Amino acid sequence: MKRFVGIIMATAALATGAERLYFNDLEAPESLKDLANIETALKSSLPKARAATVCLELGPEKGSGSGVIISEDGLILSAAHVTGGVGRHIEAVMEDGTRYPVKTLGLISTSDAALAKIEGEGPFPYVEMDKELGTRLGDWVMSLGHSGGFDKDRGLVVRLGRIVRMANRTWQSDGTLIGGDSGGPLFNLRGQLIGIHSRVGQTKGENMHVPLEEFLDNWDVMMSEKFVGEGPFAQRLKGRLGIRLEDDSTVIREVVEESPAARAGLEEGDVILSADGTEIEDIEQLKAVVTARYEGERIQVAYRREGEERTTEVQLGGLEEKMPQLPFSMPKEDSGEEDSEGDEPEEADEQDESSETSPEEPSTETPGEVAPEAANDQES
Amino acid sequence: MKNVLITLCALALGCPLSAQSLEAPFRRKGDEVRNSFEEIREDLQKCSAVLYTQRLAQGYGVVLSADGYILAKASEVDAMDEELTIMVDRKRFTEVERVATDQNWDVTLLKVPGEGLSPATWQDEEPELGTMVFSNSGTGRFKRRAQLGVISAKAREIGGEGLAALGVGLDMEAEELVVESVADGSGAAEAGVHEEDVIVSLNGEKLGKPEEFMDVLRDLLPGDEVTLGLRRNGEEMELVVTMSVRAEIYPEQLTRNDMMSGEFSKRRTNFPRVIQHDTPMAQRTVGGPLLNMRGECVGMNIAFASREASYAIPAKEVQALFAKLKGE
Repeated sequence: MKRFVGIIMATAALATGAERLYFNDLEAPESLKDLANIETALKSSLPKARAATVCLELGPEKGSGSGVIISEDGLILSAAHVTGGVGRHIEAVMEDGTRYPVKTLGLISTSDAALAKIEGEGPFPYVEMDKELGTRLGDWVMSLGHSGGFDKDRGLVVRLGRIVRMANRTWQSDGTLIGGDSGGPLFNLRGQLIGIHSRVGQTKGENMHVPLEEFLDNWDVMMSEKFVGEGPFAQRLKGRLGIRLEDDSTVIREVVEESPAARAGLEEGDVILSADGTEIEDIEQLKAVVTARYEGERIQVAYRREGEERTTEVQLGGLEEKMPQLPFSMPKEDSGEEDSEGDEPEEADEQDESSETSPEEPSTETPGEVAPEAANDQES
Repeated sequence: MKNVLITLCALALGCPLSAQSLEAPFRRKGDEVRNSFEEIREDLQKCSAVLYTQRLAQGYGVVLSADGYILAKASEVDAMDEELTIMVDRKRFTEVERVATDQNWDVTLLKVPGEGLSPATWQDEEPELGTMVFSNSGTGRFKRRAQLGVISAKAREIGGEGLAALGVGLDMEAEELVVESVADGSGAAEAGVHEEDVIVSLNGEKLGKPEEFMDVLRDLLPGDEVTLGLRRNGEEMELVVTMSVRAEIYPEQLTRNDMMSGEFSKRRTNFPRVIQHDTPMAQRTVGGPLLNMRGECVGMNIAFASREASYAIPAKEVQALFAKLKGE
């Protein structure tokens, strides 16, 4: 009978093409040999996984998270609370310290999934995704990430665990995560990507991930730079251009460096004629049009330069690029040690007391946008 | 057929799949998983020493020799004021000699009158990333639990601001070394250094810039004495100041990750070299051996740095420290 079951399982595996590692089908490893096989699988998955895992630096005083490259042309999977919004310009740091500019794409603010893309010439090192979605409860997994931020001497940090809980859009593993790991990859021991780190609970055994399925289900909408949902992992920001106009006219007095307007080619002296289909007569009107739209959205701006009328497409930035402040609970005393006479203290199994694992924030309050503007010096 | 119907109904109603949860014994720290490395637990038990005060287990040490040399974490042993007893495997020792300490590595060599103990067997080569490792969990009378983890990051030096501090803050704007603040309870406060004193020399050497001054201080250890030449109200004077433990006079600013971690070793910085692993640690499980899957000792657990990071002194350095401290 047992043999019969074995044959059926083998056939099933062949049929789906997803061959499972045998130790994942044991309730627990039975011997040192099983552990040795887990170690071997982990070690052989590591080189590719490390090469494709990046630290995502969000900018000065804005902290960092992690991400993973999944295509030769530099597409990155991360967490919504790391990328924070659509169309943001951030930086990816490889384990060896190489840096690349990255632009954030769409995100699902309700489940903490996000895409981003390296802006540069590939090919980049990348990992394969487990598109068969073959992960089961109890599977051995490895977590990678830039815990606490990028550290060249240390490199990235690997942790071993098992999938200990699977709910609809959240998995939990017992490989311990911390701030800075957010957005980093969860792998099966074949080195395939199966999820993205999202948040932690109070004990070391509670580490939450967004399963890959959530990304695959929302792939097109994220690729088309959509901000989906109303939090809690990211807040939609009102649009911003990054220009100042002369008083009583629509002539650009200043274009803020690296602002959406600057990226779209607008310059000092240009005369704004219309924005998003509305004729513009003063700064208030422009502000109204821009703030009616959201960060990451694209609008057409018509302007006059040297007597010539021109049009450009601007991808809006966001007003007040602030980190979402999720409730953060202090961990209870988790000794990590057990009284050997007693029973194992039950690790809390629920996710409701969880807090975000990152982005690894600076210890001080995160300041908003730099340089407060003078009252009459309105920017839009 | 009935079953199929029920399943379909459930799907049609869009009922969420109920959450599946792995029972505690099958989790990484669970008993069923631990059973697979029972042999390693036995190896670990033999070469581990448990440090007790008043019958409470306070920490671990590594058994270095059959005749009872044990290496433990100095900052933890120092905090154990009361009478120390040590248990190795199932033998209890009440006579414990504190032989010597190395502050740079935060280790103390202890000696108990042992005979025929089973010291750690060493693997000198540093384990590579992903290597499975085992260390002690809680302590019990006859049995200690072991838990598994992996080598989780590159071996490296863990920096810091230096172990010792004088206890004075300097006015960085001033031309001279003007004392701006004196930390309460510091060696400087005890020696009578005042605010607005001007430091003119250190151990008889004239000083110029604050950086020069700090370079000299950085390499000093707590307990070292320095002679400060001061000018106060136009008068020159000399004071002998004992260097304080930096962490005691300047409490660390907690980061968000520290708060997430909850508990961590008081001394977790300024180590010349560590290997990092993800074996869960606690205050009372630091100091013991870290074994590989062959039961060989790859290091000595020296700090529980955060929720996800534990540090161990590599095996080679542990042996060198033993040789050095034994000779002192």
